[in-house]
Amino acid sequence: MHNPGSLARAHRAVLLLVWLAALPALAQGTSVITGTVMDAETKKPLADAVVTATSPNLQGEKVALTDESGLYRLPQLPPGTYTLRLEREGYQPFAREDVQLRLETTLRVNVMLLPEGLQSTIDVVAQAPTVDVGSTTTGVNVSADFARRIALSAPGSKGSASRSFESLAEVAPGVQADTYGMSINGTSSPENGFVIDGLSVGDPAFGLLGTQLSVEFVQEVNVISGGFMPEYGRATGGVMNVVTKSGSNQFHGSVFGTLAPGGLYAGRMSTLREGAIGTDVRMWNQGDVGFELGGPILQDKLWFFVGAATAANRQRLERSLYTVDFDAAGNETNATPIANTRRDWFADQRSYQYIGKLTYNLNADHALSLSVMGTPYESGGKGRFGFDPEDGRVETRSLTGSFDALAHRYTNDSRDVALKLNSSFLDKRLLLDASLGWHHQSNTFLASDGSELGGSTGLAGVPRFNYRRANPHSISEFEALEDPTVCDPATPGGTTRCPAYTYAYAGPGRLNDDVLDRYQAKVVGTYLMEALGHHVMKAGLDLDYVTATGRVAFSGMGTYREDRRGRFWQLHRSMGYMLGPDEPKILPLWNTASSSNGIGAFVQDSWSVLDKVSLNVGLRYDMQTLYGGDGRLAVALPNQFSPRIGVVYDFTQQGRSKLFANYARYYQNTVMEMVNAQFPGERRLQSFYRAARGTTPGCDPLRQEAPYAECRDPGNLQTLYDRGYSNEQDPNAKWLPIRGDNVPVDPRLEAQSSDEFVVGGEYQLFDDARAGLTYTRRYMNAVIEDMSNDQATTFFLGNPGQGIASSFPRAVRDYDAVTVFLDKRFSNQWLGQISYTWSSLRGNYTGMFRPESGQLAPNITSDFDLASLLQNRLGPLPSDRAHAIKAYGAREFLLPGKVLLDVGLTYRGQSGTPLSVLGSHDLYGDGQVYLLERGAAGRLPWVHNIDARVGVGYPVARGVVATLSADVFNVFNFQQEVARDQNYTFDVVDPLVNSRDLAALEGLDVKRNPNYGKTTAYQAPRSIRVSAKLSF
Amino acid sequence: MRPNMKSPLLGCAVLLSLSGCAFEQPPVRCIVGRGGHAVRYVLKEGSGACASKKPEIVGVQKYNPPGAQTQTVALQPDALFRLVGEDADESHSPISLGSLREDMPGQDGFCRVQDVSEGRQQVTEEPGVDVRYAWSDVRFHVSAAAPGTQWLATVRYTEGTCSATYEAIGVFPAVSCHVRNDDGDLEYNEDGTPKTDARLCREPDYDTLLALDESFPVRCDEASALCVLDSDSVPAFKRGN
Repeated sequence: MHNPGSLARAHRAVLLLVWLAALPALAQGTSVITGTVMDAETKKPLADAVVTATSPNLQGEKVALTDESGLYRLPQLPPGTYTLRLEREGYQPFAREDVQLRLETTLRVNVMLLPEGLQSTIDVVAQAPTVDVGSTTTGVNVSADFARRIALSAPGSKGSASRSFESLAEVAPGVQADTYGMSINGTSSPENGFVIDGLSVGDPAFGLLGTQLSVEFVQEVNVISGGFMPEYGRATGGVMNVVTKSGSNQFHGSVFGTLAPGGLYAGRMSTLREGAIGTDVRMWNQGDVGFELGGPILQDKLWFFVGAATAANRQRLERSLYTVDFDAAGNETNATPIANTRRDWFADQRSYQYIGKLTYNLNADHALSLSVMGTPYESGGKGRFGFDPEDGRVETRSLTGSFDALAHRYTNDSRDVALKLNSSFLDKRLLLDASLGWHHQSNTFLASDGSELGGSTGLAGVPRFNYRRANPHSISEFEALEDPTVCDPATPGGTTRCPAYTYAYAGPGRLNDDVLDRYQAKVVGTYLMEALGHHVMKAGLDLDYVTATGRVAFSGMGTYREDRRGRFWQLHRSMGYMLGPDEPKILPLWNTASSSNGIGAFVQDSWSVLDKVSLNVGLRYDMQTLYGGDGRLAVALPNQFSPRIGVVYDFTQQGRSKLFANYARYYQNTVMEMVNAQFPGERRLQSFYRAARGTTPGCDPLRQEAPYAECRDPGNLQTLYDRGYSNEQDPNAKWLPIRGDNVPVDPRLEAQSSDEFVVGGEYQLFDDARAGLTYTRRYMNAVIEDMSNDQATTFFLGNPGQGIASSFPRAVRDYDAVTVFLDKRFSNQWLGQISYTWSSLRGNYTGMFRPESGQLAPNITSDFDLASLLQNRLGPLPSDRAHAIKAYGAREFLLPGKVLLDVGLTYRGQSGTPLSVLGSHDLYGDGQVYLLERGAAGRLPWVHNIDARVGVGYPVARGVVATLSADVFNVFNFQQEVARDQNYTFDVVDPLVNSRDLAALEGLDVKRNPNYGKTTAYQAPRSIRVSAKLSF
Repeated sequence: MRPNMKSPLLGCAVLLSLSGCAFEQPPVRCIVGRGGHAVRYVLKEGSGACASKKPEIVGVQKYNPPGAQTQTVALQPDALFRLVGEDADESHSPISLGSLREDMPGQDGFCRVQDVSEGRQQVTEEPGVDVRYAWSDVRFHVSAAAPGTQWLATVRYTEGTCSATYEAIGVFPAVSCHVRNDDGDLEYNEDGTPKTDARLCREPDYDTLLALDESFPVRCDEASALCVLDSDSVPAFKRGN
């Protein structure tokens, strides 16, 4: 959306629509209750017993009959708390209450019925089962019960303002936060799959979460970290499967609000000083308000659920100027604030959420649901800074430039529509689930004044200049100081005492907007049959079609960077192409368009062999075809065969245990950003303009004015040869074209995939509590990356170590983990969940982004660009933590006056990540050379974190409860170091190949970075969120 | 973007039509290395002063403005570049322009450039020189492994009244094997010839920082101090690659 007003109007319109139309949802589910019914006296199976399941989450009731082996099966159940009733002629009726069924699980409830007239001397108490005996999946189900008792989503973290469900993943063993989301079993966050109500809601451009839905609208989140069945594909990370709340036969709803006041945030979010410019970022306020309401439209027939919320996030950027003293070697010694230079800015974000859902039971065999949701936001704008939507942080944490150059306006409109049909035939032996979905995102990233991208008016028409001279400019050259003489060098001709090492000036630089759409259709058939035991056979087909269109522009048609020696200005970024020798065509903007077709199909059989052992065997097939900006084929990724095989054995045969093993291959979906960047990618031109010096004419932005004609005057152009960018014989003497052709693709390119083995066991220790042990191993097969055999002269797309990239090392990411856990779900007024994970993550491949630099470039990171960059890179990867402990506990107390007190506690402890010793690369710059083997500099210390939650619930009227609660994150305000400067030098240097010898660094002839080894980030300080809720 | 926001219905229709699923990678389209190529000349016909042409750098570019019917390739040999500015005749150009015959390499893996204009610089001032390059059969090998970085051509070279025909063998990028001292100055042997070191052919070029693909067989030509393709056929890869 270009026009901010229209965005807001559109949201209001959609909200209204949701209200009026009261949109759709889903009530049928994917969970199963099964078991056998026997005669308590004879221990013989009982056929034709009637099993009836009821639940507040179920429309009507579900009924099944036991077969001759006494077995019954209730499929397609939504998660919830169930009551099972068993009746058979000649036997006493039996009821089992409080069966807590979670998303996508199979519970076994075996029952013995007493013959009528027999005295109850036989124990027929069935334990409430908790072990999912049907699958080999690892991960956790986070229920609303859990989410409302435990402090989650610390203020300041990604998605924390609107309390997005993504943060719930961190509860699962083997999961930790990374820069852009959650890393699952050693993978990177863009490798995860995100499913809401059966609809894929991943961002089609980068693979991050595209719909940051509030936990308030979520009934349950299933965090699947491994062992997934063939129905899940296209993700080498994990899958977050979310079921939103639905209406029921009773009206339920709530009004809620939260606030995380900046005044209770025990410190700064970041503090940075670069030369004369110091910036502190402080939490100001963060909070949300909203409501949700669900209920019947027609009892047992048609239910609705609606909700809406708005969230605000404000942080303050405090900027002060300093004078700096240097020692003889030129290193900074201390910094002194300059009086009256403090200037504060706010960074603001507002986000909105809406959801509407209709669930319609056509009859006992068919149910239809329709859901519509959206999570739009806007941030930045006039006089404000914005938030980076990808990592959730303020867009700049160091105000090294002018406001107009650094600040932007962001908008996003994301919407999802899902239509689902659940049908059963043949007396429920054949089930059919079909869905259609649409995920839409439109994102804009504009100048802070909102001016038209690619236009010539407003800030979008002003070029950007990046000052970066090695002998730094003084801040007094850019900004008026009361007394500029404070910046005078300590010795005449020396370095200014107010160095601005870098300074972004004039226009806002690169701007873009894009529209992403994913249309999806999915149909899954399930057939229940018997042959040497019970089979649940599933076959499915899913299709998706993704389009990505966008526009990219550089404000004022160019971004310039200053020569390190100040001799010239390089027009470093501008859109355009060459018409002929030295005949440039500069464009105001560049259009991108790409698309992708995906087809997936699977078959699987869950075979309960003689009803003793479950065997899950399946095969998934995927193919993806990507098309570039010219509409032609970019990359073909056919023939992705993913076998999945698992075996589960319940040695108690009572649903109280399982031993399991699973092998799976996962293929990764390729996102549009790679296609947009390489097929053919933005066509750009570079050139060099003489800088004005003394009486020599040239480009001098500080003394010239927009449109800076001198900085694009052909008379000031210098040759590429003089600047070392080409040979003098180049037919283009003054203009350097960048890209313009599709990058070649290795004809034998394979889709990216990984393999996983999981073995483990679980046992139900006592009611509602199970303990378990799992071992997981994952490794990469082929990885897709862009590479160059000739020092970044020409690039191609291939698989490192294979095909035409066989001279490159293979991409390696080996993950091994052992987890032990104890999980007591909420019952008898308490819950507890403890896990310990030992893991090892080694290799040279981190995934879809580079954690070292934050470069988010799925399949085209710089890591594999050159074989020479890969020296010393094999070792413990940046998210390798040997030990991780997670403990969650909650207790509910009933106080006098029907007051409920909830107390929740969290402890998370994890050992530190590895540290390396980095240098500069002549082409790729700082931090790209591993001087010693990866991880040679040891590890960061352990980090401990304790969070608490206290809530008080009070019945204010009949059926209406008011709840007040407080979440305290990092209760003891631990301030452990979480990041350290690993740049040993900024000099270009060759690595000490295969060495781990720190002492050998002394022998290098380089200037050591004075900040090497110093802490660059600490644990987030204590923060508090208070919440109020009125629910009925 | 904005303009045509596709409706979900259209998307579903496209989805169901399922047009365009590919099982093979797209063929590499005609591309050429952009910048200086090191070109070695093998005499085919001719004698005299112009029949002993040394390797030289030929600047190469390709022009494919969006919507253009054909792509243009430009060649500028060093011998003509050196004379730029001295030829008063505007009809003479040091740059030869030709058009790519096809968008894709042919069966043999080559992209052919046709109708290449003559490159010429004529200096009338004494002592005077008239150098002409007539390129024909210009063909770049294009594959994912060697994307327009090895090529062949026939060139009729004329210097005044003397003519010779050569096969030109080009490789991209041009990398110098001319030894420099610690200050970066070029070093020469006592006889005035460049001091060379073949190991420099495996390092980035001093000026451009570009480097040759390690799988290409190259040798250091001592006379020109350029790293040239050590093969008369194209494409050429070292054994084991």
